[in-house]
Amino acid sequence: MLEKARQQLQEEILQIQSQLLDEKKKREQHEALVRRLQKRVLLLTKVLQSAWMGKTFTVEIEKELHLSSSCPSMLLWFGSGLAGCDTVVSDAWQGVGYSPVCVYGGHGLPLEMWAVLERDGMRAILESYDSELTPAEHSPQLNRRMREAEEMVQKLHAHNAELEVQMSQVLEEVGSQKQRAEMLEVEMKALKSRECAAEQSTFITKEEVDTLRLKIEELEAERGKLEEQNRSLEMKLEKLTMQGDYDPSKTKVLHFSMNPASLAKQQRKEEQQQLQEECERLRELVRVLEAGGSIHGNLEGVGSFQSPQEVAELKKQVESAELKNQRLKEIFQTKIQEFRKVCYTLTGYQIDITTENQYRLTSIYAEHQGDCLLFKCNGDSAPANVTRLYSG
Amino acid sequence: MAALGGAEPAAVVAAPGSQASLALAVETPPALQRGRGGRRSRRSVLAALSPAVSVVFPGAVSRESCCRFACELLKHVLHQRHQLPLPYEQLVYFCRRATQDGDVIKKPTSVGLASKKCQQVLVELEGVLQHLEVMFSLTLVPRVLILLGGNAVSPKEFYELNLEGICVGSAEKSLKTTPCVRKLFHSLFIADVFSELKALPITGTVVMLQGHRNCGAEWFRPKLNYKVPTRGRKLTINLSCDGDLDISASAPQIMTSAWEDYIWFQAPVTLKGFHE
Amino acid sequence: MAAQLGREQQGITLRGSAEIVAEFFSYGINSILYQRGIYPPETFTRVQKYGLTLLVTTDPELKNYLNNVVEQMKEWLYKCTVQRLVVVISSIENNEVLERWQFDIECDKNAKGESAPREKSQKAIQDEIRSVIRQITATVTFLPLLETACAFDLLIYTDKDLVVPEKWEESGPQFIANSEEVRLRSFTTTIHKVNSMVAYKKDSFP
Repeated sequence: MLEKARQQLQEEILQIQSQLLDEKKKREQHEALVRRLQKRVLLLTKVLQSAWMGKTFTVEIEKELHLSSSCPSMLLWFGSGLAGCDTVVSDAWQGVGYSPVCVYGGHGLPLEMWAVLERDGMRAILESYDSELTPAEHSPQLNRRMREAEEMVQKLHAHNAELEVQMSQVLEEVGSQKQRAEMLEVEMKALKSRECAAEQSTFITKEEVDTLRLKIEELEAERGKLEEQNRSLEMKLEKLTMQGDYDPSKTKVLHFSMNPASLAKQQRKEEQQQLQEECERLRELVRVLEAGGSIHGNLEGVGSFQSPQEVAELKKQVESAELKNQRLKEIFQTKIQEFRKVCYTLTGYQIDITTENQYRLTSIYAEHQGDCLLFKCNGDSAPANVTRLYSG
Repeated sequence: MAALGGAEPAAVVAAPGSQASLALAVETPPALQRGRGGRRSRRSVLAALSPAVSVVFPGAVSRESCCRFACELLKHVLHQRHQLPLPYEQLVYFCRRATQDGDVIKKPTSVGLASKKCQQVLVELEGVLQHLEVMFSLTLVPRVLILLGGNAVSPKEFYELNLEGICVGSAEKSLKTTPCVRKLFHSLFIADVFSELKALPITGTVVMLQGHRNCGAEWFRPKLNYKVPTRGRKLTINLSCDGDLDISASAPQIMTSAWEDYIWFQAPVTLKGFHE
Repeated sequence: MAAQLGREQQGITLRGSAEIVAEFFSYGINSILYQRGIYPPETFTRVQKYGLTLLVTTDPELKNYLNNVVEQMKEWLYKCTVQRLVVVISSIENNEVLERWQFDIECDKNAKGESAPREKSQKAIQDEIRSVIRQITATVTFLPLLETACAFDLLIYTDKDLVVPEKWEESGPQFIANSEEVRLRSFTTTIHKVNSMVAYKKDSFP
């Protein structure tokens, strides 16, 4: 940045130089002033030689000594190495007083650029020149140029000041960065030293890591086992659920009391009982038969196992048969009586059965009860007259 | 970018001059990397896709058992796939009852269990079952196909009963038929193969089986150029025997060299299903 | 047709769900009794339900018993106090339990307070029930034959604090010793979920 500014300033200076040269050329006519200028120049040279340590330069005044009116009040001196500075000095300045100003940056960094201002001296020279010269056409130009040069100088001054400030800022920053760098270095050293110390402790952590690894392996193995257990338990639980297992604290099992299974069981039981009873009775029967005894009345019916239905039916049949029997008896009775009556009425004789195979014949005209004939029947032969009993 | 099958990460480097350089590593998802390994043949991929039920019997089985497997499977499939309203035996019972004392569900005789259609189906099915018995007694049957819908070459779905792994033994030295049938259907039940399938409309069922070309089959028709369909929903039921096999008991299985002698036979009847 | 559609869009209420599940039990138990030969086939008649041909009993005593139980189930389902229904098939001879058809019921108690019915189509529920009943039929193919005369009983697992109604009593769970179990498909109305399974006496494979 400083380089740039310097370069800029250099350029500006070159511009001004060219302007000065122009002015110099215009002043060729003023040779009459050469001597005075010569004297001045001698004085200047002496002063310069004394002030500039080691730097020698000659101011040649024989050559064109045209003082440029554009910037007579400025003298720019350059350090070593810059070409043309001697020429500038020799061309521009003759017998001019000066006061060199050295600008040093802080922290011992010398600037290469020097600016020398001798405004008052310059003014004096100008005035002297102006009074000797024919005024009129040149003076406004000169004045203008002088003012321009003054402004330029002021600008450069201000610029310089700015650059100074910037420079100081930059140097401050650099200083702080250096401090920081130093701090970081210190820290790093500290960390490195700590690391060294820590490296010793990593030996300890390595052991820790190993034990931790072992522990992890153990835990993983355990986890694998637990997973297996879990799986087998889940399978067991699934199987139990499918088999109908339940938690009695939360669930109960109900069924309809009159359900087919229990009914079937009931029936089965009853059947069994009946069969058992029959079995018993049959056994009894067998025993009795084997013993050769007579069959009791109550056992008689045992032989044939008759279901209650059959028994009822048979009973009914018996009843109806008995009823029929009774009926028939009654009918026979009435019919026999009728027949006997008719016989008695028609034939006049009544035949009665007294005892077995003995018959009594009674006439309708019999006067007494005992008037009858008794007959006995011996098989097929006709009944033989037994006795005639007339009177008792 | 990583190509399918490639596993190298791709790096994208930003143009020079930019403030930061980006390096992106694109990782191939592991699923795609599998393709790099062995290349699976199309057939095995298909095989992996079609469901299969495998049953292993702990001993040799008899020819009659094999016949029973086929017959019971046919009846089961017909009922479970909506071609019969009831399992075969129950249907026979109710059909007989319906023709004897008139159908309980008052329907015109064109439909319902008393109908001609029902009787025809039952008669046809009985015929197929009987002829299957005959075939099994004539020849070893390594495979049976039950094809539903479409036609025999391109059915909607079909069931393959694979008996290649069976060791056939004599009646005395073999396992009893009933427990084997039960084991077969237990495995089918656990696999729950029918519940996911959509209801099939009434369609035709074709039965095919492999037998020796010279077995003398009269009813089943040989189909020399027939090949097992590759399209259509397929369920394979693999039956095999394992365990201590009495060497004298088990007849040798069909040697691979004898495969050419076995050809496909088709039932000449297409069983038409019916609804109530 | 329109009425059917209307019903379809109605959604499932707690009462509706209880009815559906109770109805399923009615037909399911009938199917089990028929398929397992607990009652002779002459005592059954065919009906159409869930798009299937199902068998139901004509025996009046049995019908009466089933109605009693199913009606009670409906009420308990509505109150969400029933956990399980079991059809126990045992031999009449020696009372040994041979088969156990178990239907676990999960009830969403939140449905009690809900005013809006839940979204599930009747058709979807019917399809699920159909699968279960088909499976009941299919079990005949592998369940061991019931060779002795058998009778059945219906056990209901309820919450412990339930008041035991008249004509009902507590019972044991009637496990099967040494059993094998198989799960059937489940169905849900979104309020009640029914998980079906059957346990049967293990018989060795000869």
